Order: sequence, then structure tokens, then C-alpha cells
Amino acid sequence: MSHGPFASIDIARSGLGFNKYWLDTVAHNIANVNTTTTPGQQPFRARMVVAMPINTDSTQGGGVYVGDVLDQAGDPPLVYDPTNPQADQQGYVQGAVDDLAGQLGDLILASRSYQANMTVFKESRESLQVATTLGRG
Amino acid sequence: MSAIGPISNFGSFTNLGKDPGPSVSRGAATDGTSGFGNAVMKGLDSVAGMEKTADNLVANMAAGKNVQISDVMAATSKANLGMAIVNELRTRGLEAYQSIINIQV
Repeated sequence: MSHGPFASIDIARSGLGFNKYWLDTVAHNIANVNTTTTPGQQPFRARMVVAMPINTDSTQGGGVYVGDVLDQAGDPPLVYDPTNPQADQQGYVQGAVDDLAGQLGDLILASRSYQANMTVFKESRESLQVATTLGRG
Repeated sequence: MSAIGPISNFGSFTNLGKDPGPSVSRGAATDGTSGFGNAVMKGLDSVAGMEKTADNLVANMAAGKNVQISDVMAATSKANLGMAIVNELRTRGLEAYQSIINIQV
């Protein structure tokens, strides 16, 4: 349902849901920033959440959803660490395709977006509450 | 709801919230599908549905299932607001009824 009196509540709810998912993904990426693998294996790749708009027949739209989760592209860094049990014959281990600074930036973005949607939710609820008292003597 | 039948001539309120235009019909409501009492009953049914949704979400959350807090809050807020709106409509309707009751003859 994305029309009717509670449209903005539903849209803000979709934003909250999306941004919570994003926050969880960022947490996963930050937790795995030191995950190493043996060269030749699949390296850990940071997950990127893709936002997609929910299109409805109503003109104002219906919110946002997690359209896709993609792996970060790029070559994994190779670190020379021959004592590591994961090292290959040449003594290299493979780091994660993950950018801690970028993830911390995303963390701030996701948490601020969550708060922004929370504000929409609160304002919408308060507006509706005030609307019920319209014309009261 | 038959007790407040006499004021059903005020028309149907069933279009409230759907159309901002002056769509309140002024025809005499004699059947059971229109009228103020019926509109309030419909509103209450709709609110009961919202409360059921909210109850299910709260129960699932309490049981530790994978339920998002935002979904629970949205459902409870909607149920709360729906109840407030229906209650306000009932109050206004009763106020009108009281005004008519208090007409001096």
C-alpha cells in the first residue's frame, strides 16, 4: 500500500528498511576488512547495496527497496607473509577487496539516511495526529 | 449501530480519505450500505485489520523472529492513528447528534 492517508509512513518505512540493510552490509564489510585468503581462491569482496525505487501507479511513488547486492570489483591486494598458514608457495596471502575508509564513509551516509527517514516518519505521524484535531471547538 | 440511525440523512462518509473533493452525497440513506453508523463501522473494521497486523508483528518480534523494528513501529503507528481518526469521527458524529437532541421545541 503506497497511497491513502498513510502513504508517507509507508514510504519512510521502506527507507528505514533499506538503510538498515545498508548499515548491516557496511557492518559486514567492516568486519571483514582483514579477511585474507590464499591466492587463487575467491577473495572477500565488499558488498554494495543497490537502491531501487518502488514504482506504483500513484504519482508520488512508493519508496525504495534493495534492488541488488553487488560485489566490489577490483584485484585483491597481495601481501608477502610467508608465516601465514594461508600463504601460497611463494609466501603471499590475498587481502580483501574492501576499502575501510570508503566503508566508514558509507556508514555515516547510511546512518544519516536512516535518521532522515526517521524524521519523515515522525513528521508524518505528527501531521496526521494534528489533522485529526482540525476544526475542534 | 441502529441507535444512531436517525442522523444517517447527513450522508455517506465512506469516501473520506480517498477523495479530497466534496464527494459527500446528500441523498437519504435508507439501506444498510451507507450512513454514518455504517461508515464508522467500516472504519473500525479497517482499524481492526491494522491492529491485527501490528499485533502479529509485535508477537513475532517478541518471539525473536527476524522482524524489522521500523515495520513494527509503522504498523503500530498506523493502527494508533487509524483509531484516533475513527474515534474523532465518532465524537464529531455524536456532537452533531447531541446538538440535534438539544434543540428547543
